[in-house]
Amino acid sequence: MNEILTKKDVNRAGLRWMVMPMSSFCYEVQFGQAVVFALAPALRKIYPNDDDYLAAINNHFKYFNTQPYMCQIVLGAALGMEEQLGRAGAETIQDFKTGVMGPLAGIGDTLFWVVIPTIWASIASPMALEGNPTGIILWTIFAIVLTLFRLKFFEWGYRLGTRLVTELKSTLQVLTDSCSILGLTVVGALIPSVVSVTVPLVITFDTGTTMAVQDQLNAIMPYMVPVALTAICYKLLGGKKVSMTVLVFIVLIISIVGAALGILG
Amino acid sequence: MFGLSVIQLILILLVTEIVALDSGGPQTQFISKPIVVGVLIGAICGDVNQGMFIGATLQLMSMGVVGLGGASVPNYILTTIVTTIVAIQSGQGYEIGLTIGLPVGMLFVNLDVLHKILNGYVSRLSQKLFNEKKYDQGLHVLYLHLVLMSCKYLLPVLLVLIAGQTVSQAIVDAMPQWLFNGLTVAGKVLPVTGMAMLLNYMPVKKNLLYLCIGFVMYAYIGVPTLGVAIIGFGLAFKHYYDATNNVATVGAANTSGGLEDE
Repeated sequence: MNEILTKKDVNRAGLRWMVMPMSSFCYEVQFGQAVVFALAPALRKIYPNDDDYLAAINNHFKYFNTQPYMCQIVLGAALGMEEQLGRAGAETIQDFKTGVMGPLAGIGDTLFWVVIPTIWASIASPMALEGNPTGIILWTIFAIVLTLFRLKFFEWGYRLGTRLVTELKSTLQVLTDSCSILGLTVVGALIPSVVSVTVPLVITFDTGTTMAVQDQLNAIMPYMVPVALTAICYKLLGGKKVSMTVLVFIVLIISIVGAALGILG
Repeated sequence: MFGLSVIQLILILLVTEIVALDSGGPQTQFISKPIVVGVLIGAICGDVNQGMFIGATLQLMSMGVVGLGGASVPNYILTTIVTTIVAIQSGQGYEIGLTIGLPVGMLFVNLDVLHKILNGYVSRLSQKLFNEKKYDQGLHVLYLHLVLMSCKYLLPVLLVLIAGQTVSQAIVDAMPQWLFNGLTVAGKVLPVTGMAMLLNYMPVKKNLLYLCIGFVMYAYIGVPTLGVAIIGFGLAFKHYYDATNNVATVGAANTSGGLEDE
């Protein structure tokens, strides 16, 4: 087992992750640059050689997104794998990251962004409306305790990652495949839930009858527009002829023109 | 300036900046939620109770409004800050505050889309610097993200503070409608690029079946994402179980026993 990183290095990477995940969010690689910001000092220590370091950095600049608390665990694990496997593990690490990000987003988003705030809001708000701050205080104490727990997430992930590649080496491929099954199942649901664009266009015929285009589309298949757009963008990106930057611009222009013409809404 | 003293103005901007850095970074939820921000801004403006009332009202309004997967949603924290200031300082109550607070929260959606597009440029600049072996510069340039994030929160609040109630209403009204609509639609469509990129990193062709299962469950049956994740977990576990048991029959028996326990 390689032991290059000290506990301090690992904790430092964990805290660096907390600096800018949402501040740096972009459409192209989402959390990519925040991952680089978090891991760069630790990666430099693992890879004193410039070429290896750059390869690792470029690998982590790739698309990455899951619920930010869950990211701590995944990135901790990724760092543990980098330490154990080095550059030979580049593909395993990338597969692991993309494999688990879908399912963890599904679980983390639901738990931390929907369930917990909804419960606390429905306790604290009615009390506050009557001038009683108890609920707000309890919620804030809960948030502090949760954050203290979260400070350990990265380290837990780091130990898990180390264990995955040292003890469970032979099953890692199967584990990654399983993760991508879980990931794709969730992405299947994520596309219609995240891409919420519709066609508000209503066609009026000479006879005076009207036809709502979205209703017709729904009759063929629900969420047809999000699916079609995803498929087109997937093909464009996969063909390597269109870069992500260009694609974001195309989508932006289509959105503005589509909105102006009343086709997209 | 709504008759606010310099110290009050600084405190309001300080709370806004803390909210920006927390929402963009550790997301601790100590302060960055409408109900707490309402209390704090209320305290700064000298009416804690009204601040708490406004915060609680907007906390309830914001329930279920979550920007998942890079979607842009109205910002109820900014709405709370602006509503509380206008309500208390104008003395006209929270309905008047909301008439300017809500549009500001909506306007945030457009700023959010612009912010995420600009972030893309910063990200690429950083990667470029790294590949030119300017490692320190590559890392330092990423702090621009924090500057952009701060602007996204501070500018709308500053706009209201400087312009006052009537002028800021006029500014919100004067924004060309086509741009407002266009950016709102872009906020709904742009997450598609992230999904497409994500799919390009996954074995879509090999596992197309699972993508279809997830889609049909959400789109046709209306199963929430967590329900889909549970089915996905079941399918993934089956794959894991089958594959490891297969290894067990082909491989050495003594290794397989240990694997199954994992």
